[in-house]
Amino acid sequence: MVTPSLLTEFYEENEKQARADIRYLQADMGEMQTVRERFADDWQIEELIRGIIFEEVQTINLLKEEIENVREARKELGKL
Amino acid sequence: MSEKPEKNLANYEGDDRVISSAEMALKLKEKPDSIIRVKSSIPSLDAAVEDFRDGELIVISGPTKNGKTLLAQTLTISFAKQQHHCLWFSFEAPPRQFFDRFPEMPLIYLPQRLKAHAMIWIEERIQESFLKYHTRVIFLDHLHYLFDLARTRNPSIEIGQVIRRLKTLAVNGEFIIFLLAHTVKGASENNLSYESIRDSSFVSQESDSVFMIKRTPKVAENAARLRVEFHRRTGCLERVINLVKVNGLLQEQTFKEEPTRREGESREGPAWEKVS
Repeated sequence: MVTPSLLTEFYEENEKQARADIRYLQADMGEMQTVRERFADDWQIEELIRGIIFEEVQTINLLKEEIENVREARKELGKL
Repeated sequence: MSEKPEKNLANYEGDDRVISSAEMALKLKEKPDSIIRVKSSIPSLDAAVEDFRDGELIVISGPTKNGKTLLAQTLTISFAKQQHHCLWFSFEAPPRQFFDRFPEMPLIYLPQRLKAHAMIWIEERIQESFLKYHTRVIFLDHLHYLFDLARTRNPSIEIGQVIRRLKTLAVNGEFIIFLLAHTVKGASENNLSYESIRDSSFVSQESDSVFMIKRTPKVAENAARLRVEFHRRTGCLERVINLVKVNGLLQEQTFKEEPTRREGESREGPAWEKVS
């Protein structure tokens, strides 16, 4: 049976995971910048890395939204 | 001089050893001209500075509420679009207010909590951000939060030291540092130049470029004038760029026809406060 405490636990886990993913992506963006600098003369690598970083930023924004939604849902749950 | 140190120095192989210009030229060839190059997306500014590059300390100054932070935020968004995400130290505005000022919030990095008047702390955070996220572009808003003015006997010397440390940090760490600085009181009434920067002439002496920004409400409510006072690398001097605030960001104002110049006005544009 789905209980409020179980849902809260689920939301907490969800937020924890999303936060960890954001941190991982941020660190990966840093790694990408290192590669970008190492191959500064190669425009293909530059384009590729820029594309990857762009996607990573989009994903971070989605994860941020997800955390906001989870927090909203937890608030609603608290009202029950 | 004693014999021992002489002997040691003769075989010295440290990173800072003295080498010839030929060796240095070879070393320089191994590395690209610059590690990072970013554009402002303001065409005339990009033409004046030929990209912002690592090792540069850029000062943005102007009277209060005249668009210093707005220009810095415009640059931040522009850099983020080039996938260069900046590190911000916004001492002046609290985080919520700072976030609200961005029409679209780019991904930036900032310390969770700020510590004013602590240069060592700032240097540590810059290094931390670089090691974690590889951030090379830094905004410091603003200069007078970097040292304790109340405890300073001679602000000019203190500022000089701070600026020198920032410049060294930019060069050694291969960062681009943007430093916002206030102007002296009353500077808006007269001609505004890099000499109007508050407390220290060191600010302009040690920096690579100084931008002065001032709103021009007489031209239009949302208009501002940016003047590149100088740029050491490109040699640009007193280049005036007309800006306009659109959708919460600054962009260059382009005229279809060249605006009529009055007597005594240069091609670069009229002097501050002379626009009617």
